[in-house]
Amino acid sequence: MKKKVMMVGAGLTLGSALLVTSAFADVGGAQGYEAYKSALKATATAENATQSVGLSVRDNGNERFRVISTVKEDRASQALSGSASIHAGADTAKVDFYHQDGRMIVKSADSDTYNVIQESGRPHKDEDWEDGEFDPEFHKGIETIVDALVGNLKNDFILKNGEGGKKTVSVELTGSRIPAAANVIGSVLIKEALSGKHSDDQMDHAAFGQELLGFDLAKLDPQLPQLSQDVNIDSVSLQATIDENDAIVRQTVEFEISGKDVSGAEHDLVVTADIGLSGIGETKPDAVDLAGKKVNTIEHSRFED
Amino acid sequence: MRLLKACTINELAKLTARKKTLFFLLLSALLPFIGLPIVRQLQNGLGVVGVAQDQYAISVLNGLTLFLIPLTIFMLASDTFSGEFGDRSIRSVLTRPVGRGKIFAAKLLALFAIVAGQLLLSLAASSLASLFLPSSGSALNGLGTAALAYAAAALPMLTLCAAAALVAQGFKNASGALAVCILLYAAAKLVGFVFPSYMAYAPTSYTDWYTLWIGSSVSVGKLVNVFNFLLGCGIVFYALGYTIFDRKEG
Repeated sequence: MKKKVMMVGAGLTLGSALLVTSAFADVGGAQGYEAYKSALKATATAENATQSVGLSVRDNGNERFRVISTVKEDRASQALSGSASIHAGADTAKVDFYHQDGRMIVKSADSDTYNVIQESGRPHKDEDWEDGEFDPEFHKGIETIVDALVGNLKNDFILKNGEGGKKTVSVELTGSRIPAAANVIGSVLIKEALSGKHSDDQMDHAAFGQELLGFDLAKLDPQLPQLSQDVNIDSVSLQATIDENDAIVRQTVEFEISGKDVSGAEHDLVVTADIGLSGIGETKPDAVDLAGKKVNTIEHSRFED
Repeated sequence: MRLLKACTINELAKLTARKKTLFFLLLSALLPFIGLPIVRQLQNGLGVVGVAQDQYAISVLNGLTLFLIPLTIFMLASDTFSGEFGDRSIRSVLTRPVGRGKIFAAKLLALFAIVAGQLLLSLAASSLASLFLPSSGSALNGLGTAALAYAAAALPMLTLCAAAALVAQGFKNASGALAVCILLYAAAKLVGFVFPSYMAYAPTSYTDWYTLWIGSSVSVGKLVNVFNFLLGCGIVFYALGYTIFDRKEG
């Protein structure tokens, strides 16, 4: 009888010891995920910053499409300024834009006309600027849902601590690590976006594109292959660099998508977004003085349909 | 050791003599083929892959470890740990010249053997079924990954066996034990989904810990941690389960 009690006692001791050690080692914790989440929140509170975005799409290794933009934004004065250049094959367009005094101003690099988009008739003029001021309870709810959806993928967020409080967080999901449901939904969305079915809508905007940017937006579409069969998201990766103030100063997101087009040819698409953030708290958007310049006023309502 | 082996074979014979055990074993082998037309239909209809050849076995494993295997465990544990006490057939086992420690161990081993059988059958079947899916990446690589995942999936299932053995002994009949096991498991899963942080210390949250083994970035520290946790839970459940089993009136 004594032997039995000893055995059970030893078992309970060993088992509890293992439980306690794993609990102390934070078995349920996902440091990388938590670090990324807190940095996202901290970055969102920045009053002003300069954001540079590089977006490129490569098809079988050949670059099809690239957008490079720099935006200076200040929340307090509701102002922003920036420029974007779009490269699609041999075509290039460069645009400067400003948001000042409640108006959006767009100017193509090829012309000296400033297109002013009047927003006076727009009822919710300021809604874009208030997205940082949600009800905290609501925010908390959203966070819980996102946490639940992310589930065990949290463990794929790898945290590396650098010098002086700097951190990097990286995630790479390939193959079966991408949840099948997300892969199916994502693939369908990509397929639809590339299908060319939506080019009708784009035709309406093409005239505006021409007017505003000096660039035919419709030209961009045929550059990308129309994937119709076996569309699959092969990998998703994210790399974020977090500075000592818990702000995400650089983020690279990459998607690899494969599939076949109508003729059965295989395509490997790589979509890369490189987002840099600088000048946090020190950015002042540029303003343009329209006096004595060629101005073309466009009613905002023309964009809404 | 010889006694334990004989006991385990005896328990296994009792389990496999039940038609439902065979049905559940068969079901885990058929599941990959039942899922196949659905996946193919989806792929052809939508023009997407979703689940590629080298990922099919893992997708099947998701379903196995979430529903089918836990259900099998609860059902068999209810039969063997409370059903036999309820219908007094446990007496024919207890009156044999074998210690209760060995009988308890043999019952758990037999239960786990069925689970291992389910995993093996399903691995073989899903690897076979995946040949009918569009390929992406190397099939051999996929098979290696799948084998690793299936092997890793056995540990949380073993912990679940020990937990079910503990819970089932609190009941005098099999159906009550089964219902409570399922309810507890479903509740733990649901709470784990809504409040992941509260359920980090529940073994049911790690039924899919095999995903940690197959990612492109495997964190060894995390693996060791979860391994310790599942093992610790298993040992505690086993020790408690054995204590109750030892004192139970036959």
